[in-house]
Amino acid sequence: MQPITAADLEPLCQRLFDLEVPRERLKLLAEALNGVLPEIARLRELDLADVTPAVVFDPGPAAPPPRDG
Amino acid sequence: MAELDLPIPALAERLKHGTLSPVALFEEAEARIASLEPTIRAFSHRNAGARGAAERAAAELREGRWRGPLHGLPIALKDNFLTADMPTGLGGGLPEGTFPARDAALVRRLRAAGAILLGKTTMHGFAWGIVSPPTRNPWDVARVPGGSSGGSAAAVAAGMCVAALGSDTGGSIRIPASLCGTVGLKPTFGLIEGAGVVVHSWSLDVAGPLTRSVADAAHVIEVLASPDTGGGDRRYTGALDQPIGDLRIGLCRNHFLDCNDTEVADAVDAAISTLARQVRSVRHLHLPRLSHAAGAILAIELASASAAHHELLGRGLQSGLAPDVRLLLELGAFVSATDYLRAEQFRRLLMADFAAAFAEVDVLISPTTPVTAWRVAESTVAVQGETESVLSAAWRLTYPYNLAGVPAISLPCGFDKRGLPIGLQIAAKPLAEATILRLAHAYECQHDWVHRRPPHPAQ
Repeated sequence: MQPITAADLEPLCQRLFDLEVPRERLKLLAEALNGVLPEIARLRELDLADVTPAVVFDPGPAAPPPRDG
Repeated sequence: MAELDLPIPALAERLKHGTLSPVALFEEAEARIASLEPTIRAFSHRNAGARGAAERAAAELREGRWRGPLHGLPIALKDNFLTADMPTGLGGGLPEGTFPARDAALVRRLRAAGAILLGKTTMHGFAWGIVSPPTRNPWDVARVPGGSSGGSAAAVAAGMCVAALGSDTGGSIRIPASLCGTVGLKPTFGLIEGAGVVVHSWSLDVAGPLTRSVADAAHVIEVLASPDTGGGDRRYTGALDQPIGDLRIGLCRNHFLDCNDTEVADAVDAAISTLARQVRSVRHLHLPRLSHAAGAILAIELASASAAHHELLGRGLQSGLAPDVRLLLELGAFVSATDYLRAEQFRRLLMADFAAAFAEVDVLISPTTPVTAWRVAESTVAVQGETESVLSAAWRLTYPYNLAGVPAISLPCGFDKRGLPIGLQIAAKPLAEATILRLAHAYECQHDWVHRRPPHPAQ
């Protein structure tokens, strides 16, 4: 995985991720992403072909859940 | 010993029979907070209605209307529990009134049990961190209390309250419990009703108690546990004095026991040796998939927290947040949907691994944290000669149980050479809180850790 730079992030933050990140903070964000994303990407090494995600879908009566939990 | 320092069963007995008044107990707590709070800074908000609640509890008890073991006891709440009569701050940085003024389900439950809610305790912002500024560790005020329920742990350790509630997404009850020398119980996911606890991660968050002893934790969890959650042995206090000779202990060398500070490892080894002589068996297990668990918890927690707080951030409130919290909330946007779902797939495999392990053993034992409390402003710790970030080290032994949704407790098992507490973690299969409490209580009764108190910082 190629390291992400502040320049990579600048066009993405607002356009793709709806994030307002001041230019001076982009370097910090890039450094943090370079620490975190490779760890997450290690999950791609695993063969998960027959595994259902641990996500529950409950098609019960339609009622919005409480906003705070 | 001050009455405030008595265990819950002893306090309940005195309150029930009128030899102690809730008002006197409240005043003891107030006096201790007045003395220690300038140094410990465990509270973000004090409840102006607490004295009135104590007076009402006193009147009820005089009339013989005892509501149960928490009636009249001073208890504190982490600042992510919604309350009708106190603001909810979520660790600071947000305007007052950001969250609704109504009671979380557990707050209603505590009020109905007659507890006196002293106030809201400090927490790491958005429950996303392990330092909980500005709170300090009562055992050494130059050190952190852990987090994110750091104020709750510090308040209990300093004896400002009998118990406190916290929440645990990747270790946020057990980490501060370990660093502050208290008991902290993360219940099974779903056992405790979460409505009204501000969401951090929908599939990881669980609320639970921080207390001075295992028995106290059993009394609190008995009040908190939802009657709607099926299964499991709910006789938490009834389990405490049951024999432990039938229990099978499991030790997972990889991940849990292979990279801990020497003093921590020695204390936990001693605890295991003590218990090994009293239980049915001790067995070594290997859970190789744990080597990928960090990626899974990061993907799920980062993405969930960012999604949960998206509207707050969209209102331009991010500039008020602590820099580390803001950064974590921004990071979550960059976790791809594919990686998030792969993390949830991985989680299934890890749950199956733990289920298989808990078919062979009743409990898994490890340290709670690989290190004891670090100094404020330290961002790295050395573990066996290797330097790593405090976050990476602090939650390594706790988050696997959030991924699996199983219950786990932290209780003191000794002190390092600097006098800092060391935490022992015991986990079990879903809804086996009674088993955990039984073993933890048996261990606790054989040591004096539970009776040790931090030095008074004002002395």
